[in-house]
Amino acid sequence: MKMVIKIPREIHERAKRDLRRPHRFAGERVGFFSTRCTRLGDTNLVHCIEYDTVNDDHYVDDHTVGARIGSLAVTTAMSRSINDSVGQLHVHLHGSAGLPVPSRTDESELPPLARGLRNANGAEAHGWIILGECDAHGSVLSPVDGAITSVPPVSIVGFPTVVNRREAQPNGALAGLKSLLAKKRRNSRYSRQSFLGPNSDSIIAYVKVGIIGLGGGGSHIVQQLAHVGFKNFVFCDYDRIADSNLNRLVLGTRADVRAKRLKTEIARRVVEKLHGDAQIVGDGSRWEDMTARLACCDIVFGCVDTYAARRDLEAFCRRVMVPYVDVGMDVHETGGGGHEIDGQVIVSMPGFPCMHCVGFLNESVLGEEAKKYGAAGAKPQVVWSNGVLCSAAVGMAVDMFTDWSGKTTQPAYLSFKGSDLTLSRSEMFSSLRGVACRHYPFSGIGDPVIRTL
Amino acid sequence: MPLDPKQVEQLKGFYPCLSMLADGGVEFVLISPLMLPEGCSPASVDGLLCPTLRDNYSSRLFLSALVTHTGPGQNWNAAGVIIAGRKWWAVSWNTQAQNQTFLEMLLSHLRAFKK
Repeated sequence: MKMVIKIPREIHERAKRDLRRPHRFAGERVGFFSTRCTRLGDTNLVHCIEYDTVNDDHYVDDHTVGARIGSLAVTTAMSRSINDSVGQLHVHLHGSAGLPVPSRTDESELPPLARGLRNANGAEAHGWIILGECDAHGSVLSPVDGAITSVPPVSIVGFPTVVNRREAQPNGALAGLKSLLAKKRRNSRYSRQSFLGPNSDSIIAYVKVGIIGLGGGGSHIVQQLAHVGFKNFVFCDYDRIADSNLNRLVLGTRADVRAKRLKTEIARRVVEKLHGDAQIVGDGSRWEDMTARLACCDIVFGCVDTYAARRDLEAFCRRVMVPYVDVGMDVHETGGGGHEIDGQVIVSMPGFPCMHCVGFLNESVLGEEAKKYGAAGAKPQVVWSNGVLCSAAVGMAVDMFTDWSGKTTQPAYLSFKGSDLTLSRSEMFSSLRGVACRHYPFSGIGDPVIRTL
Repeated sequence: MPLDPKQVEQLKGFYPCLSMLADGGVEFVLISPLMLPEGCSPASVDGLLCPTLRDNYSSRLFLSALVTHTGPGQNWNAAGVIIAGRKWWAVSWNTQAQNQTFLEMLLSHLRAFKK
């Protein structure tokens, strides 16, 4: 069973602030993350959905260790696990820049604690985690069989999003040489974007991207992401290219139309021409049939046609704690035979207001769309507005993972107006700063909790 | 919006196996199993009642599988949609009634599958 730990940045920061507070006698502090799981067959996503401090009075004065918590702290964590149907991860801080190293005390005392928590509630994932600045050393007991997974991948989801994959390093002289050559190639290819950060090329290379819809919008996104250096993709689109797509599906050809190629095949070709070692999943399936794959992505782009699909995709991404970037455009009549192009790019980040909160999704637009069911026809679409919107979306994604701008602290909602070619930032997210999303609270993350009535 | 406990109790009188699950700020009633009218195949599925406005329907009944039947509700306009991490199917069926109780809603939706 593969385990992946995901921590919202807001909770990560809150935990670090709490753990840095001095205690009157303990050398360090301890807390607990509450966890919920998404079970995906061979993979278990362990989502940290809340942080709880250990009460000052629940420490035991023992100067042989950094911190020792008493039985009240442990029973409080056990009660929380049972009452709230959550797992518990013991948390403390080492504050190192890279992967924290557990002490001998951690290695001897934390496994029995985790087993004790599992005895209280075996249905959830328990364990321990040592936080560093950008990484964390964790061990998690599987909720299935109690087996320990040590040092699983840890993602910190927010602004910026940090993905620590733990991929095996190549062994042997030949593998080492290949790795060196790959690094040299990367240094050459990405030399003009070195301002993204010293490790930006390797960060980008292992971020896994899901793209739903590979037509006019998605084809731009794939092309740009592949040029920037992204090469792990999950593609979802069951459609095949038609002649009417050639006005906007970038890198689609007449030969593709003749061959009635799947749009996912064209996207694959685009990536593979740039990356011989690309990892791509997606063979013409609907996203609803690819949820296990999408749940393992680090970001999902939605280039879908309907509000209902956007609603469902955002709900899915929130549940598995994956940032979602919505891209869309619409051409409509303005009266008197005129037309206007409206479009949007919206980042929906777990822990922040959602597309319902900012008013983009509401029952009015969803209802109007549903009324037109079956009579919508082919919607007008043009290449340049898709290009503007998708370029902005790619820029947001690159900043999300590299933090090159150093100033993105909240999601963005950009609106496009085709008649004057402007992309403007909505103030909705700014005005909702500090407001919790009531549609997607952290408690709704993970497998759904079914409560008997 | 939280589920009205009185209406839940009334529904439980006829469908004892009820649960609640939430997705996107909406609370749904899960009816498991839900026996379908005679002539449906499969004869029982899980039902997910959305008691609030959704997709321009005042309420919706989602089923855990596509059902073969001879009733009037043949327009499956929700096919494999993901709600709360699971796939659901629903026919286009507007009950056209306001202020229905959960039980009335459910019975109205089941008429879509009755001969």
